[in-house]
Amino acid sequence: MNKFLLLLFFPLIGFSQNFKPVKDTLSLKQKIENMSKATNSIEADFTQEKNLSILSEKIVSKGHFVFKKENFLRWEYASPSKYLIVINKEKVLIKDEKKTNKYDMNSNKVFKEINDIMLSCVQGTIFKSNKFKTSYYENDKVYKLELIPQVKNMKETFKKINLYFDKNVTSVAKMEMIENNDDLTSLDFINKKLNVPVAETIFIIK
Amino acid sequence: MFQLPKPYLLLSSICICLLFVSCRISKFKHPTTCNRVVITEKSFPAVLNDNKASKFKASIDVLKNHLTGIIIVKKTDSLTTHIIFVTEIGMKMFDFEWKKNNMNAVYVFEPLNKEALINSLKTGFKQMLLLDVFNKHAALSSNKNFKSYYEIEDEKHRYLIADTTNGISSQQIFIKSKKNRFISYTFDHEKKVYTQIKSTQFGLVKIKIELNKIEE
Repeated sequence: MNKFLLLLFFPLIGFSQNFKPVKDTLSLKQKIENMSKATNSIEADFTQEKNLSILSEKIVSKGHFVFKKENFLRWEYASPSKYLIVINKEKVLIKDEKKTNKYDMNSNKVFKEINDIMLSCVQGTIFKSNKFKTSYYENDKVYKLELIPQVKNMKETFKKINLYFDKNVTSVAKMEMIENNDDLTSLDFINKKLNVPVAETIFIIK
Repeated sequence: MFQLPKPYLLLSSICICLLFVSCRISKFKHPTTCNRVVITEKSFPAVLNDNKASKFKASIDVLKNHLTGIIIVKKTDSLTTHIIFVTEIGMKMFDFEWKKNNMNAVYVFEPLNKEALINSLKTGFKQMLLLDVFNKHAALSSNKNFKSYYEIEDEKHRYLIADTTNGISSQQIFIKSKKNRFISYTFDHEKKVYTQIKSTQFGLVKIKIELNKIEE
């Protein structure tokens, strides 16, 4: 029974165990750079949990995402409601249960900001942004990058963003966005497929 | 020819004026009675539940943006209610706090943070969720179809149309005789909850908000 419980909670243990600062940060940065360069596509299922301080329960959403270099992203929510975001370079399509809308990224500040965060987190390149100060931590299972916003807009939105990588640094395993009042959004990526062929047709915005 | 004394004429004129002002809603529909009342939850059901959070699927159309997500409304203490809008991807767009009859913006996602827009959203949600209605005096008129028309005393040109069995059906707010906002309500009589609330704001800042109650 204990073994069963350990297996069940194994993925969570890795992310919550005590972290210590990474000694060789240059080496870790290089590994992340290499990962980012070597990753041409990512396909994964995700579970998103939103913790709001005023709510006792979490808001849980699930879906599937596909990323393809450069700047192609398909972010599809299956539950609790259907919702699709497709980013095709400078164009964004958002389809909810009632409406489909298309935006030009450069003419819409709301989506440009969201897009920048999403793409750079998925690729793990957000630590290079001058909008954040990055600290590097590790435990036996994962590396954790703690990103503290340095610019006004970001500071108003987030207290910090945590990115977790497995010890082989093959891709982002989990992401946490912590707001100033400690409300938290976490994204866990599972069933990951790296560098599998991805048809560009799934990113077409008509 | 018989002439009425001047004081009598003056008094009559004042009475007619008072009647005209206090029952302005008589122009709005055709009431048969007009009384001054205090609005309570006996007049019509409140939108929010005091004890637990209310969740709505929400869509907000404003300034070429179509934003969707969840609106969570919760009373955090006896004086404070929070209204939080979170998009599907978990980004918080705003957190409004209703406290001591004032709506304050605790947080607004920076690209949306335009003064006119935020003021319109704050007023819109205050009115949609009936936060500022209870325990206020209003002129109440009724007609033969058992509809009640409330005009809130300190907010001229704000009309609430309620049905004795089905709660509020709509709100209409006018500014200088022009319609500024129309809010419609769908009430589930069996569950005693408003299942849908839709608001359309006219004028310079056009905003459409639709809230659909999420079943617990």
